[in-house]
Formats: sequence, structure tokens, C-alpha cells
Amino acid sequence: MDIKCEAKGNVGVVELSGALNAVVASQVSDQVETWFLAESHLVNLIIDMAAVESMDSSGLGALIGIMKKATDKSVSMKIAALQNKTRMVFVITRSYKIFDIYDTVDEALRNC
Amino acid sequence: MKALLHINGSPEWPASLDSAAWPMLPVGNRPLLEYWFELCVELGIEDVKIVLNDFALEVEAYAGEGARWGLNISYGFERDDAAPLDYLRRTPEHWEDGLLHIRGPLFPARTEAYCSELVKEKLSGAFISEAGARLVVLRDSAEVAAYLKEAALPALATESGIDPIVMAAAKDLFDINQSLVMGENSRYLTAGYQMTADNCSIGANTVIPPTVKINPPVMIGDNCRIGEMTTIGPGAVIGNHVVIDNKTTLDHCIVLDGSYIGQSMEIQKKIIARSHLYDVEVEMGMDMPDPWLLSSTKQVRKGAETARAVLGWIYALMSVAIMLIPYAVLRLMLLGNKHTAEQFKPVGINGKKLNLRVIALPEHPGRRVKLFYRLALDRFPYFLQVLAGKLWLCGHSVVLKDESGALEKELPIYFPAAISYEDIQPEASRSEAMSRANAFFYLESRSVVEDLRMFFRFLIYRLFILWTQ
Repeated sequence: MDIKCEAKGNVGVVELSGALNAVVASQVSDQVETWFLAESHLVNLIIDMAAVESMDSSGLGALIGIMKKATDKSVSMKIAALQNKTRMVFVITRSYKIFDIYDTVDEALRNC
Repeated sequence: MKALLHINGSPEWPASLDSAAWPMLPVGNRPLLEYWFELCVELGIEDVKIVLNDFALEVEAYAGEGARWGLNISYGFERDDAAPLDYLRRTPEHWEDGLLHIRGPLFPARTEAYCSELVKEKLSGAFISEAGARLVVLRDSAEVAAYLKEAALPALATESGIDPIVMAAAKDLFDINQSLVMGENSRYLTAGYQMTADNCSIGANTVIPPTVKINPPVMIGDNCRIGEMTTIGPGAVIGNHVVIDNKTTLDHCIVLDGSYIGQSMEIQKKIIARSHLYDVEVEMGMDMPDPWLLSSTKQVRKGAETARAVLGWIYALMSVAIMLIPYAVLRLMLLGNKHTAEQFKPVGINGKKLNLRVIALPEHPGRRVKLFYRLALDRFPYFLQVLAGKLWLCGHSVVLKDESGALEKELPIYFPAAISYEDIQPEASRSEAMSRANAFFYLESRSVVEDLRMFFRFLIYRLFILWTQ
């Protein structure tokens, strides 16, 4: 899994690519959490999922962990650009109710 | 009249349900093939020839020689690329007395005018779709000869009450099932599958706790386990051997046989085929092989039994290593404190008699006894027996054989084990009927994943739930 973290003003954009599953879940959550905790000026965090081909319950758990850490630091987290397969995981697990989900990264940026 | 049921050829859409054997796909919780057999019976046909290629094993295992329907079924093979009439042309004289020819994923839907007598007398003609799926009923040799020459035939007489629907996509399967469960075609729900007055149909050996909310109409098959606080329906068609975990909501969906659906899920307008999910709205299927979301309740690999045994042994070894010191200390403390160790002689694997000494649970357990049980230390002697190869780690309760012996004799295979479903159920919900249901359920659902689930649920139950309810 490739993780690219970039700060755009007070918005942090994390671009994930590959499969977000049990193999990489802890690596993703550790890396992202470490990055946005270090970037103390961030107020918003956008997870760009456009290149995430598949996700399982561990991947979802990693995102929930990141959101929890972000909320503790008063950082608002948004999910953007879900593919159909990953969107389905959010739908059937009802987790779309706890995340702010946007169709594109631009749309998420506009709502920051 | 004779019947030729052509089920060679593999349409692409069943692959989106992870199921190549399309004749076995469920329509109202019965395989499509069964509706074809019913049509044969209604037309007074006894001799049925099934021509197949792939998935012969599944079809033959289900249909057999047809005694269940009063049919005489024989089988033939043909390549997938053969023309629809090639098989008939091999022995044209065989079909001279009349022919029912069904080919392709086609559902012989019944209209409001349907009655079996009408079908027997009036169903004739040909229905042939653009893709070649067909339902053709020919009453005499002249019609058969014309059919073999590919001459034009009269259209199927739909006033007989049969109006075929071709299933060209998974969505068609979904629509037909929804139509049946919503009662729009109630005539199907007669033979062998009755809807009661409240539009609920629940199969045998299915366990539904009182906290489950059922919104009719729903169909639930045999040997299902529904979790606490689950909401089912309207429009849910659930197959056999399905496990639905706690707090999940299902409506307007089809769940195929042997599927597991995890906790707190929301399944709407979907087809669940074990670890495969098909979204009817976007008409897309996807694999979701995650034992906590969607998976199979059935054993799928031949080596699974060995894998269960090996995994059970490893977990038992780890448990023994962790429990050894706490067990020794607490056991000594309890025995020195007027608690007694009772001798218990259950029967293990291959009828081996076991000799276990277990600390009896008093009526009013003190703090130390509660700690002993919370840490599952009472199972320590059982885990030792697992290491000795005399018990399985997870399986049937060892007391099954001791109490009456009747149930154990009924079970085709008995898996005496250290942990069983009884151990993860609150005492109030334990009963003889429940033990029976659980024992038969485990026979079908046993797998490495199911054993893991049972083991960890046992530990969670002991640590956090026991004596708190």
C-alpha cells in the first residue's frame, strides 16, 4: 500500500492506493496518525480513497482509529472518492453514518 | 411425452454471484431446477433426460434418479458450444411421443390463470428467447419433426398459465425472488413451501431469539442461526445454513445457502452469496472475503478437517501454557478451601473413555470460584485431552453422550470437544431442543473459521458476560 501525505494549508490530504486490508491496516493507521499529529497546524484531514481497490474490516478499523485520533485533536476527518467496492463496505457496515464521505477530493476540500 | 432439460452452457451472469451452477440458484428458496421438474410432473412426464456439461456433480447430487418427484431421470453430456437441437437430432425417434424441451436459465412463471389441469391439457408451442433460452412443448411426432427441422412453431400458449421469464442477469433472479416473497405470485408457495397467514416462512431447525424483529413477508430456510437484535424483512429471502450475526438488518435481499453475515451490518437490495456480494442497484458483484463481514458457513476444502484438528491442537497448547500456573495455584487454593474435584468420565474421540477431575461449581460461588471459571480454568483438563488427541477443541458438548445418548446416536458424526455452542450461551437459553439444534448445526457449519469464532466467543463470554447477565 502506498501512502502519500500532503499538507495544503490547514488541510491534510492523505492519498492511499492499493488494498486496505489486515496486512497493511496497522501500518496505515500508524503512518497517518504520526504524520497528522506532527503537523500540528492541520484542522482538516481528507483521506483520498480513489486508488484503494479493496478494503476489509481491518482497513475500516484503521480508518475508524485515525478518525478517533483526529477527533481527539479536534481535526475534522473526511473520506473522498470511494470506488464502488470500497463504498460497498461502508454501506453494508453502516459506517457511512459515522464518516463524512464526499464524491471527490475537490468537493471535500470545498467543505473544509 | 418425454422431457429434455438442457443445462449445459454457462451464462456469464451467475459468475457475479460466485456460482457457476445456475440451475441450483434459488428461486423462493428452491433451486430453479426444481421448478422444471414440477413442470414435467404437471405435464404427466416421467422420463426426463438432463443434458449437462459443467457442474454435473452438483446437479446429479441434487436430482439423483428423480424418485423424489416421481420422475425417471437419466443424464447425458454435451459440449457447451453444441447447437440447441443437436442432441435431439441424435435419436429423433426417441422424442416422437412428444417433447418438453427446456434450455437456459429460464423460469416457468405461473400467471393468474394457472392451474395444473390447464397446463396438462393446453400448454403447447414454443418460447425461444433471442439468446436461445427456450421452453418448447410439442404434443405429437409431426410437431417434433417440424421442430427438428427448425420450422416455425406456434408461440407458447400462455393461456395455459405458464409465462416463461428468461434470467439474463442477476437482477432478474433478484426480481423473481422478490416477486415471490412479496406474494405477487403466491401460487408458487404451495408444494413443499407454504406461506402461512402472516407471510412468514421459517424452516426447520432455525433458531430465532426473542429479540429478533421480523417484518413480513420473509422466507428463512432450514438450519439458520439469527443473532440477537437482528431485523429481518420485509422482502428477505434467506437460504439454508445461513448465520446472521447480532444487530444486523436485512431487507429486500437474497441470502444464498451457507452464507455468514457479520455483526451490525445493513443489507438492502443485495444478493449475498457466501463471501460474494451483488449490488442490485448498480448491478455489480464483488468478492468480500472477510470472516467478520461476509463468509461461508460451509466447509469448502477437503483438508479442512485436518486444519481444524491442527489449529485446535495449537490453540489448546497455547491455552495450557498460559493457564498452567493460574490453574495450579487456584486449584490448590480451592481444594484447600472445602471445594471438591468431581470425577467426570465422558466419551472422547473414537469412543475413548476419558477420566477428568473437574472443580464442581457450587450453587453460590465465591470470588475465587468465579475467578477460576472466568479465566476458563475449569477447561484446563479438557485442553489437556485435546493435546492427547482424545477431544476436539471445538465441536459437540461431551455431555451429549452421557445424559441420554439418544442425540449422539442420531448424529452422523460426533465431535466430542472441549468447547461447544452450549458454552457460549447464557444458562437461561440452554435446553435439550437447543442442544439438538446446535449439534446438527455444527455438523454443517464446522470449519476453521467457525472454530476460531467459537473459541474466542467462549473466552469473551467467560471473561465479560458470565455472571453479569
